[in-house]
Amino acid sequence: MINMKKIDSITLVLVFLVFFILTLFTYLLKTSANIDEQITYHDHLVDMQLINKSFDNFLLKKSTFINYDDINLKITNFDKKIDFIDAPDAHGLFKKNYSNIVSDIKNSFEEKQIFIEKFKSNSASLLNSIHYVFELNKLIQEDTSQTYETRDVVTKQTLLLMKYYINSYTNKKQIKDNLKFLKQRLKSDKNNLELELFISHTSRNVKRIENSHTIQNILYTQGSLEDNLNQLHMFFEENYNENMFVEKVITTIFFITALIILFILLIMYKRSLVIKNELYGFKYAVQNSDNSIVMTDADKNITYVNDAFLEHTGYTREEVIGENPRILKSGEIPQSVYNDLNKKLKNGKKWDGEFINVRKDKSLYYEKASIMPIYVDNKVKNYLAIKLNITDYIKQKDELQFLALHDSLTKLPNRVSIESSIDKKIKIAQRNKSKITILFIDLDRFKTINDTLGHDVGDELLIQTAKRITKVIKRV
Amino acid sequence: MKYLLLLTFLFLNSYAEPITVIPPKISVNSEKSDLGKQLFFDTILSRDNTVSCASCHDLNSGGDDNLKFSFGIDGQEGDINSPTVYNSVYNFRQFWNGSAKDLAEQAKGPIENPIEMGNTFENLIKTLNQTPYKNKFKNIYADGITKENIVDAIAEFEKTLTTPNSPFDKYLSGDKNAITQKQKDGYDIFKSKGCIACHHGVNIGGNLYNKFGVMKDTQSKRTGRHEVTKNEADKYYFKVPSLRNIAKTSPYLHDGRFDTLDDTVKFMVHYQLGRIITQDEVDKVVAFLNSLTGETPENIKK
Repeated sequence: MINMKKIDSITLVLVFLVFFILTLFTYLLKTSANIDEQITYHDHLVDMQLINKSFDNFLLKKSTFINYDDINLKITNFDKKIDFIDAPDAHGLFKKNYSNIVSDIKNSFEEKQIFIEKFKSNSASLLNSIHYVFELNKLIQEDTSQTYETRDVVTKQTLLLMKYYINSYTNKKQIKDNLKFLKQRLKSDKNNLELELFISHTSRNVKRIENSHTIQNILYTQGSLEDNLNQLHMFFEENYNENMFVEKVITTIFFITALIILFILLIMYKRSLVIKNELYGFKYAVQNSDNSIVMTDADKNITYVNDAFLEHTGYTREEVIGENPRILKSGEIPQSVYNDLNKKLKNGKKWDGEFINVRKDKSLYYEKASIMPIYVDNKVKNYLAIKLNITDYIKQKDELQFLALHDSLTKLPNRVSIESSIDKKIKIAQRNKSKITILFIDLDRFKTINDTLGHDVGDELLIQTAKRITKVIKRV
Repeated sequence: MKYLLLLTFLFLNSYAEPITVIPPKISVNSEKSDLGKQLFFDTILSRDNTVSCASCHDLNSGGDDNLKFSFGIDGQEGDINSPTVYNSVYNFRQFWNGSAKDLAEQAKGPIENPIEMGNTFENLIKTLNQTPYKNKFKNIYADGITKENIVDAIAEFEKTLTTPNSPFDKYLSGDKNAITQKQKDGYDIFKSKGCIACHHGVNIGGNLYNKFGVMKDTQSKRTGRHEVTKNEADKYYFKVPSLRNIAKTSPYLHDGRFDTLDDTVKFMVHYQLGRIITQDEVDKVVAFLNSLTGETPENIKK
């Protein structure tokens, strides 16, 4: 019987393998899309770090005119990038939530913006005012109504302010003293507008320079936005590494499993090859067997016949495939035999017996047949009939029987036959109390014929004598 | 002396002009901006259906109402001068005290301000849902009429309210005859007197805060940034306003205290810069300021 279960398990393993590969594929696709997306967050963060550097550069600038549109654009960009990084689905993308880091970034960015705004206001006024201090200095130097001492202190004060402005070492006390002196001067010369403006600008500028130095110092010592950005950077990096590691592990597991499955498939394939070869052998045997082999489906329609069948029945393959085997029925076999056959098959048993079937050309032939049902998964799938043509054997058997009881030369019943016949007749006569007569005929001088004319003539004589006697007596 | 040299070049040294040309157009979503335009002119935004955005921001007279203070519902008078809505997209913050980050955030203010439109968004959304606005919003926004969508549409419309091609912009773009010699002189004075330190960039202002009364106390009732931050150090810091279309947006300053540019320039030089300026110089600066009036957008022209 064919092992159908093996084929089923191969299908199962194959389906599993396809499913497995699909899962692997989708998983890898998804993780790589995930990682790509995470990289965009990382890129945004790197942009933010760069923007933050430019904030710092901005806050360190002071001696040139600055168009604030640039820094405002950067602030807006930074703000947008925070929103991007803080989007709810962004947090879902990463294993851990990082909203606490983002809220730190937001806070320190708020703080930084306050510094930047202060710096902008301060710097705009300072730049403008410092410039004017030099103009005033020039005006005062050219004004002959100013005393020499005033002019001298104004020049010194201007240079001191400049030194302080560019952050080189400055004697602040000297600036204060100079201011005090100039204010004293102004008291005695109330209409000196230039001096008044010089005093008010320089005293304000000292404060502004202090302000800008304070902002820069805070920037140097705090740098909290930078720290927070770095923190998030580390978070992203760690997350990335973790993801890569997990991905590697999972990919390896998938890979190994896939290998194992392939190996199993290979073994199964090898086994099925063996079975296949066996089956080829069987098929060859079946095809070339002298026995007629017929296979039907569960409804007893012929699905297969071998060459011997065709030879014995005279049908072609096309004529019988799909037909019911009853086309061979000759009617010589009583219906009870067929009933017995069907009953046995129904009970799943093998049936053995003989058929007298009819060929396509209506001649009869004898068959010894074995018919069995083929079960697959407890269900009848096919019926298989193996039949031996015994027509010749039956004829031969009849002939032998004749020869045993008749004389080979004259074809008359021989001694064995006559003895059993006489025995039978005597018994009948005893039972009937009747009489029988035995006619014994001897051929005289038969030996002379044999000796003079030869044995062939003697045989001919016997044959002729038997024929003549047979002709005149009633056949028994 | 090297410091002196350095300083002399402080302003002259800047490689690019400190004022930049206004871009001819900003790309907007036209569906949203059309809806925003309709909202902008619709008094339905106010509680009693009497005040629209356009009531205080008249787009045919410089984008403001030329009043010292504007009037809200029930004839209530505000206490701050309506700034022009033109080019406000280029301001780094909105409102005089910078309390709004952008146009959308700004648009939320007047609708719920009790002395402006005196409405609530809850009520407004209810009202709008009973009008054809319901479908118009649905066509553009999946979630229909919401607070965010209302101000988004208005902000989108306001982006179209830019005024390119002022004579001065043309001058900056290379047309040397776009402005008069007097105006050119005015621009030089504008730079050398230090106005440029605050009024620069694409909007000639609108990109930083500075103190109102740098050199002297200005007697301001409003305290600017301080109203938002409550920080004493922020007192009297206001957003530096844009000077674009300045000739059409009198009265001037956040409290509308001056009606003429002449007075305003003199005040600013005195209080903000602490400098001396002659009448001739003032005239030239005013002439320069008059060159900053740009073209009214196509969709507003009558």
